[in-house]
Amino acid sequence: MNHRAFRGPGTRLVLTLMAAACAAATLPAQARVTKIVIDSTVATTGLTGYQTLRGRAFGELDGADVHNAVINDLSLGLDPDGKLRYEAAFTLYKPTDMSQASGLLWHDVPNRGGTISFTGVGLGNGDVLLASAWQGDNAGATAVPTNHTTGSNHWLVVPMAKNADGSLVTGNVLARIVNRSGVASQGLYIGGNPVPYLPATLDTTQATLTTHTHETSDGVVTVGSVIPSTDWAYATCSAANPFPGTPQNIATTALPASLPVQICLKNGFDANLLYQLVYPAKGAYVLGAGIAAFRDVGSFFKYSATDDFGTANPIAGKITASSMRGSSQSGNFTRQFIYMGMNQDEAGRMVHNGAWPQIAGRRVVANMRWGQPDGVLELYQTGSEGAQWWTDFPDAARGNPTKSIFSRCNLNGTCPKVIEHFGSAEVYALKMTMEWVGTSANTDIPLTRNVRRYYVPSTTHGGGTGGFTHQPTTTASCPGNNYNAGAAATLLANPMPSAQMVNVIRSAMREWLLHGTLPPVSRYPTLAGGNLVDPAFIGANFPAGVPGVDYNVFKTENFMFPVFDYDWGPQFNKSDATGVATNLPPPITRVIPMKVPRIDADGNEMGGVPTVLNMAPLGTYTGWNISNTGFHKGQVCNYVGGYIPFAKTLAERQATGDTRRSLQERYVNHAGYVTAVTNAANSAFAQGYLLAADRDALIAAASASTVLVP
Amino acid sequence: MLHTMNKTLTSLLLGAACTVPAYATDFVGAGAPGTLAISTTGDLALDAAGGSASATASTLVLVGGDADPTGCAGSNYSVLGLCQIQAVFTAPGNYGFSWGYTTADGGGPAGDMFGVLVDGRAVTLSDLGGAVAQGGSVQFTANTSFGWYVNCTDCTGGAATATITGLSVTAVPEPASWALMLAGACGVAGRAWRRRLTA
Repeated sequence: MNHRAFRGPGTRLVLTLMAAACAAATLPAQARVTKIVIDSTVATTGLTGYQTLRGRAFGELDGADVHNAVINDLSLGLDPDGKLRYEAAFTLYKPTDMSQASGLLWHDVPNRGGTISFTGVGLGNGDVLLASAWQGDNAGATAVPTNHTTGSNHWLVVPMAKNADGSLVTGNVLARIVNRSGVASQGLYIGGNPVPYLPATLDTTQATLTTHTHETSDGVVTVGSVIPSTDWAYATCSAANPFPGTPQNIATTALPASLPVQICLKNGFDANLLYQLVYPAKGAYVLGAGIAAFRDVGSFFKYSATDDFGTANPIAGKITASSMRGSSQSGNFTRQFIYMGMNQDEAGRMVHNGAWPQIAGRRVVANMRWGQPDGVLELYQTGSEGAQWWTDFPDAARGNPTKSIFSRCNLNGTCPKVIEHFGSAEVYALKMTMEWVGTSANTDIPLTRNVRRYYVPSTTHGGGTGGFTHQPTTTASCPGNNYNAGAAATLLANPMPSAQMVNVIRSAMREWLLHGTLPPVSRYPTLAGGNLVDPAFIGANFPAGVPGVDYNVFKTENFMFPVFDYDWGPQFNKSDATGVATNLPPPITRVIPMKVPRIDADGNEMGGVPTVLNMAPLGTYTGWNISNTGFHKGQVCNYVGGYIPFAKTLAERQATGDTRRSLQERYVNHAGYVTAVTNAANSAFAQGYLLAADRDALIAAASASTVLVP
Repeated sequence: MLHTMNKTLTSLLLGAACTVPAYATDFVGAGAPGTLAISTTGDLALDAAGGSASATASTLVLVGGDADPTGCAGSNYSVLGLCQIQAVFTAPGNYGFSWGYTTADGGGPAGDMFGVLVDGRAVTLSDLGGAVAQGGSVQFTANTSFGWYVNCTDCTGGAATATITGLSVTAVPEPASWALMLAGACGVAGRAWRRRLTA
């Protein structure tokens, strides 16, 4: 008889339990990603030597852990064991042979759940790219698929907030319908995706549907009327299925397919009116858990060898530095992530060494009840609340405490190195300059160590397509929440690129994190430097006679979107942007003054990093455009820029009254223009704001262009 | 009689003007407008790492703090004003000067501001988003005190240096002086009017 003979199933069970107990004892006490599932592994299309892994991370948040205390409504999403559980989709791009890895992990923040484009993201040099879900509102592009193993978007499953009795929390939500007409029902959208919250009841007497006949850019609303509750319904209707139509399905089990919530009007929609609905809703997701999910997924792939079930981390041990990166909405997420102190994981470690918020000047709305992360700062949308700057600075105008985005991470030394870049459209529509000069708009707020800021002048949101085409035909559309129904803006699309600066930053961040090489010095317009002025300066100094420009756009009521200090009610923390907004629509208690970059005689912006097209312009490049139709006609066209070419000859501009010098007056001929581009490119390169490869490519492109070619 | 009075007022006016001295072109010595007080804010130390100030008759040089991150309390991500080196004259006057600024901070000028303190109120002169080396010529009127500061927001990564030259200080006329000048001006005007009547 040997010992083995005595080992029956019961013995194995005891040993298993003992092993599990030992394992549990050695695990950190904190909650974490507990399991990863790799659903597919394929060779990366278009990138030799890389493979793409698609999978899901299952995690849990400890409701008692101080690292999670900042999460709004966390206690309302806990399971009976005190943990909140989530499931997050992720995509991982890695060298097939991880011995070829550079050691750098880019943790990309999906914009509205979307996939990450690999155009210019910097793979191929051994970097690893991870994209993981954070937006748990289950609507539109973040809708959770029926089969979780499929799809390419980045969705997140988080619980809805529940009352103590298990019922869903309810509360009021504001939604708007703009530029719609006809008898057919219309959906409730926010930034192109459905408003994620179902009505708590189909009883319209508990909601208020109001029309506006006019709204100015600076927040003056002309109210039309309140539509009687008997004259509208939560329903799908059409000419063939008239009012009251087919009632909206408000069962949460039907989500997300039942979105958007449909509104049917007895008398149909009038495109001259804006419809604003305040309605009782149910199904408030614990959105802030998604920010912690992003933290924990990033931490897992950076630090962990395996999950709790022994599944190996496919990049384990190969990451020496990491940077999160987000653009626009997801850039705002990046800022919010840091603000919430989420760059420290539950084990106390710094999650990411670097952060690169791109074209982002606010903090995403993902940690308040009924938050709508898809918003783009239109009227009555949150996002500019609290500190938007990197150095602790007063916010007396709004009565907020002195804080910064770094306030929390500074307490435990987990602030990442930050590079931020943005352009003109962020100034005019996305309320950027409050980050630079605060709510009193009279002081340049200094940057602190390990923060670089690059302003790319005269660019549209995300930069234009570049090139040296004098007379392009590309038109622009007004983006946003049904803002102009996709109609073309008055001015051509702005081609001023930011791609070359993005290339500089990508390289600089890599070198900074991997080798400690400092990036170029910050470059942006300031009050002290004289390149940051009141918006009225633009109207007073914009060149006269510029074709296609309706100069009424420069009126305060049309020109730019300021930050509004709203009174969201007593349950809303307007510094942290947490809690519940109960005043809907919120009164505007004050309008925060904005600044804009100074313009030169051509209307092009001064200050910021040197760019070739700004130094060798073919026209006027603006961060604003003009809505040419719809409810906002004549006003700035949300966050899209514009372009007005110079006349080619003196005679041509004199014929139209254009005061801007013509191309011939500036450059004489094609060779003169190529020389101007060459000089500009060499200057930008010498200053460190243009890579050598881009310098050469730009000069070659200018040489090959038709500018002033007879 | 009137002529005599106007003559007297004119003399007083000229006298008042003569009491507005271009009294200082120096940072040290008898020509300086009072004592140049060097100080720091927060717990920024006045040493090689914390900042320094030196003055000759023609030049004032301020070097901002460049201590390690603990060199100035709260300096890592601090509120503006905690970590400044300041040089202040406690005398009113119209202060004109030229300035130069440069920083060794790898982040550029964004974290190391240079400016003036006009009656204690900070006015930024350096362009935080601009070039590493900057300069200019400016003039300010101070009623009680005037000075310069270099603020190190992070106090690390390299110090900023401000150089002030060409100082020119003239006194701010007292209200009584302005009244005398106004009266004198009225007298001159009155005499001219009287001459026109008698011409």
